Amino acid sequence: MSVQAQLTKGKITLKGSARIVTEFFMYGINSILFQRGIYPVEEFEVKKKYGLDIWVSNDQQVQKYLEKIMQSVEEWLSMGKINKLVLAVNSREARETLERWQFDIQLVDDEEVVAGEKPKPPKSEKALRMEIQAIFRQIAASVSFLPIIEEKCTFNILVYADSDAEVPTTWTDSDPLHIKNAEQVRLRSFSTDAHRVEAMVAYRRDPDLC
Amino acid sequence: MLPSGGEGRAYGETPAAGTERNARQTHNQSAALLPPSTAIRSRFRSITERPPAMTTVRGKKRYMIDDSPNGIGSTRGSAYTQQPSWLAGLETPVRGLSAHTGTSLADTILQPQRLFSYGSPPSGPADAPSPARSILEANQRESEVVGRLETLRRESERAKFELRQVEMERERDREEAQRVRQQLEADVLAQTRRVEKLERDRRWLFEQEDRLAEQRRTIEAELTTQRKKHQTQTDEMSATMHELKQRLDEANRSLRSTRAEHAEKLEAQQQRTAAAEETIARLKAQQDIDKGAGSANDASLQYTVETLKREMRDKDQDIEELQQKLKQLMGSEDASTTVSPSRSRVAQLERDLREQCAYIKAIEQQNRKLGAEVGRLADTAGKYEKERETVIALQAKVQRLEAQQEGRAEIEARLDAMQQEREQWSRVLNDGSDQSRLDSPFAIAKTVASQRHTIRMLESKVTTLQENAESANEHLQSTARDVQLYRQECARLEKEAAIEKHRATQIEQSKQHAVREAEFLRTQLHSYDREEEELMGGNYDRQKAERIRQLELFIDEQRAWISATQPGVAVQDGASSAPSAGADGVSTALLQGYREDAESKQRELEEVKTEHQHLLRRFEDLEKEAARLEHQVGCGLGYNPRTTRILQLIDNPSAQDYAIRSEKLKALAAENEALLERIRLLEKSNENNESDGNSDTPPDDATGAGSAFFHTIDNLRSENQNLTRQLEDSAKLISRYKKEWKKKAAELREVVYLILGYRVDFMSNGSVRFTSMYAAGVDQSFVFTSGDDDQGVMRLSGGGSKTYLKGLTNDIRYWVQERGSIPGFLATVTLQNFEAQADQNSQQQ
Repeated sequence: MSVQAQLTKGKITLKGSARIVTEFFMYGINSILFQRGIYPVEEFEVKKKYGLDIWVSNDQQVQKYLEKIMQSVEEWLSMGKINKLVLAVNSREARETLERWQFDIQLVDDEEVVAGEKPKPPKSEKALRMEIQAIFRQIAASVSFLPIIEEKCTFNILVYADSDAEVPTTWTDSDPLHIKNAEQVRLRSFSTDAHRVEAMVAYRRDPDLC
Repeated sequence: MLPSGGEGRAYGETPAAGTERNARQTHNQSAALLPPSTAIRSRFRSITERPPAMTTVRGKKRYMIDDSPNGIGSTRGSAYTQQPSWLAGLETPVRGLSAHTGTSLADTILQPQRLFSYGSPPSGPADAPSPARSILEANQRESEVVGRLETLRRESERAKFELRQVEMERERDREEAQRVRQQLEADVLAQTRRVEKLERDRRWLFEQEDRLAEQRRTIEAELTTQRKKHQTQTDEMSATMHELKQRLDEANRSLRSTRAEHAEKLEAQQQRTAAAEETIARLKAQQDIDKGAGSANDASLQYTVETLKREMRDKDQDIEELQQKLKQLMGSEDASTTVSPSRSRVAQLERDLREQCAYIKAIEQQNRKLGAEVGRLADTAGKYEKERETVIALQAKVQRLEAQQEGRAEIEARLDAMQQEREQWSRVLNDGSDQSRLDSPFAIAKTVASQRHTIRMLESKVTTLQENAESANEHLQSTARDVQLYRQECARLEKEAAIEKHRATQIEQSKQHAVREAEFLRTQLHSYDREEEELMGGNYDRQKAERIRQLELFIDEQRAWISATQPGVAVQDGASSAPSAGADGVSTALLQGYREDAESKQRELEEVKTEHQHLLRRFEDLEKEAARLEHQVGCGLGYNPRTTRILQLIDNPSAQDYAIRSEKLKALAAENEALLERIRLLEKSNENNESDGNSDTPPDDATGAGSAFFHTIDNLRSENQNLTRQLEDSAKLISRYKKEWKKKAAELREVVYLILGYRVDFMSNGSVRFTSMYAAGVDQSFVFTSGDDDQGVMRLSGGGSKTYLKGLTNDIRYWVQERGSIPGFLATVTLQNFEAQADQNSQQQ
């Protein structure tokens, strides 16, 4: 509601933008977990969002985990201390990273308006929704080109934060969980008045295809 | 005022030259005030001082040449087109002269006043030129025409020479272009051959690489299969080992139990023997006492027997015989409580005891032998197992070594081949001028790409040169056309020159004739003068004679002037022809300048192209670098650890999964360790038993067994939890399927209801109830039951109410019984109900 209010009022503030981006991450991660079959279909339910049917996990542990992450992410976003959020899909047996869904976050600079020119008009809700819809459609369509995950997998979420960011004690440093022999595909992006989010997926190349 | 005809035509004035004529009129007007000689001189000066017709503005000339291949020709044409008009101007008076010469000499003689047309006194009829003047002018014009013809001839010869030069130059250029083109084609061919060779080599290398990759893949597949095979063999061996271990354990257990049994038996026998000996000793002592004391010791004997009884009660079933005997002995001793024991019974007892002792000793000996045999066999089995394992390990090692040796031999052979190939490549690649390092496929590919690029550049250069050659050819052709035109023009001019020459000869002859005639007339005039002087006396017109004499002097003067001015005219003609030659020189210079300019532009273009290529290469490199960096970022490698921290929630799904797995692994390891410890303890105790001989006691390993047992229980519990989780997942899946099935079934029923008009209710007894959409009441329904054995045959078994069914008896008989069509019956009922409902609705309305 507050996001709606902010959108209707005019230009989105940094805080409102952080909320929008966090919400996008929440639904995006859920959608990826569903599309990539990290958890069984029974643990998902359909919700209407951005004019689409999005599958959201109903597993309490997963939801709790994501909420914890998004709480910190929203805080960092509103302070501009985060530049990347990565969803890494790891195999359980080999403990290797198979896929990396990377969301690059940039702060949109408003001060680049040249004197004499009109300031950029605020982005409409419809335009924003269309951009986010496009990313979700790409996530759904990515199943067609990503390799089939045949082993049991789990996931982890990494946050690339600035070194001077305040980090709660529930967080710890991690390695980047990089992929060996990777290929990558850049997805669409969306931007609010304060943030710009670019999506990208990197995946381990199928050794049989080399 | 002077007449408008003579002088203007005499100097070739074109009527169209308006401005020039105006100036000339002004000049003529001013010349009219001058004496004739001065006027002619000024006119000559104006002609000689006429500015050249062709300007030498380089840019304009170049533009003309640039724009049309006939540029030079056109300029030349313009220069030449002036000449015919100029010549036309010259021609007219000559023709006039010839026409004039065509008239009879008497006419000219009879009209002497024409001789005094120029500068004649205003008193006489001096408007028409005099014949002498005309002759002089004609002579002058003839000489001018001849001079101009000579000039034109010279010009035409010069033009021919220049044309030949231009043709030769064009020929040389063409040959040069041809030679360059051939050379470039040869270069291109050589480069193409080289590229093809490189392509072939590259293809061969790729094929080699593919083949090697295929071999590697095959080897890997073989290795995988071998590994799997070895794994299965290892698994089988481990299973066999496990089985053997179990058997060994069982054998050990049975051995231990047998040992324990034997030990127990032995102990029992020993105890029994000891007890029997003690009993024997007591009995002996008692016998001794009995000898002396009699039945006083019966009580103690009874006590001993009771003790024996008590001890013997604990013995095994195996020595029942002994027990029986002991019982007998006890019975005999019981009997001896009443009567004194006899010596025979004691002796029998002793004998029995001795037999028992011997039997026990035999059993002990046998047991010892068996123990030794078991130990020996166990040692042998252990040694055999060890030997077998050693042999298997050695065989595996030998196989590995053989495989490695084969692989090494193959790799060495491949390495040799690759080295030879590399040497060949290096020789091939270092043959040319390019001495850069080509020690990697990338460098080769780069070289090939650069060679391709060079070839492409050479091809473009060839194309440019071909285009230049084509343009040069076109230019040459246009020049040839111009030359042809010039030749035609020359031929025409030569023809005209021949005509003019003929005409000049005629004029010369007429001139000589006229000179002779003039001399004759002059002499005749002198004779007239003398005659008049003599005949007329005082009436002689001295003034007239003086005038004539002056005129003769003037004519002489004019002749002298003409003869003096002829070289000047020639010079003037030369000067008038000089601009065209100069124009040709200028055009050549312009052409040269254009060429230089074009070459410099070409060089600049080449430089710009090189720069462009360089920038393109740099752009490609930068793009590659950007792609590499993006790839790194995508892989997760590209970040600055000084400014960025990668954070994760401590309690994340991966960590949880890892913790669960590591915990499980730890539990299994602990269980395994405990079981191994237990095995070790058992083996140790077994060895101790064997070394100790009879002291065969089972190890006290209750704690070890307990811990292993607990570990096993923990593991089983965690497995149970996993299974429970799986069960929950399965339950979730089943519930989702049920939900989906219910949804789909309801959807199907709804669809059937909407399309076919019947609500379908599946009843618990397997029958199906059909209720029409248009039924008046709930009881108007049909029940269908499947036929025997559920073979897909349905039959009408009843309905909601009997009255309703009775009302439909005819339909049922018609459709169901006679035609066997339930759908037809249902459709009929639907239609009937629909009509009834429609009637009812209409009645209500």
